Amino acid sequence: MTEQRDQKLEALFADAEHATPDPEFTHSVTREIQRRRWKVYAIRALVIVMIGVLELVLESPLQQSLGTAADLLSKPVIAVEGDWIEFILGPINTAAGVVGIVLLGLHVFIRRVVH
Amino acid sequence: MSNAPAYYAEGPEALIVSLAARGDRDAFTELVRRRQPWLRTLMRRFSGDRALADDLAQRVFLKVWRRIRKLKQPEKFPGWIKRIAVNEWIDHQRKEGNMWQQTYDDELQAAPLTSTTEAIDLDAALALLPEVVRTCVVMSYSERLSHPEIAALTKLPLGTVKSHIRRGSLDLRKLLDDYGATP
Repeated sequence: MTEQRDQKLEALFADAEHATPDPEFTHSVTREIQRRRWKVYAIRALVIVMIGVLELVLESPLQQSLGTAADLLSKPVIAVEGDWIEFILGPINTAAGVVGIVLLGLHVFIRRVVH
Repeated sequence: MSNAPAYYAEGPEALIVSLAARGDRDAFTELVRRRQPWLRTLMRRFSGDRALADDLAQRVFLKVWRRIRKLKQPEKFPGWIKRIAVNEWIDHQRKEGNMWQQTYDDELQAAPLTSTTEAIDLDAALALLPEVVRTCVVMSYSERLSHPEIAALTKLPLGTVKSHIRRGSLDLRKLLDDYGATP
């Protein structure tokens, strides 16, 4: 057999003294695990605090800007009389609609003229 | 420090492993208590340095702690931790850049052996072997890994592993015979 081991060496390895249990070693492992656990908790707490701070800093200006933009874009460009006409022209009779039409026109123009 | 309840000391290892995998800290402490003599001895035989051996053993336990939740079959814990331990030693050697550098043609150093017990003689004799040879011999004799398993772990050709173990065994016997450690 190719894996035959030296019998005397086998016996010597088997009989050889193992390290004795050391409570200080066990303590050092558990202490290190605890230290790492606290590190993970600290990082998580820091991330939560940072998210909170970012939200506080950005929430108000962001919401305000979005609200203003929404107001501006949804305002009618031309004052239209009559419910039906207002309903039909509604999607394009706003700043957003005008911007959309302009962008669509530009797109068509570029495709037809430039390409 | 958390002290494991007394009844943990008598529980079967597979049960303690299952509890540790579910996050029971006392069960994990019990595993460290049970396994540390074996692991520290293995690392001492690999490295020939007690302080380094304890440092490596601690790293192994930290890896076990991080990965034990993924161990689905607690009864496979002995083989699983053995693999982590062997890989830790090989990784350490690679990081240090000193593994496989010594060729087996190097003459064994004639360092004085002053120990009086078999255990110390064995460790001292092992320390005189080149690291790569010592690693293969310890895996074979101490951990009873097969030659293909050792080749897979060390990424050495199978023929080289066999050669290292054969030559290492002969030189170990010679060293121990010279110092009267073998019966």
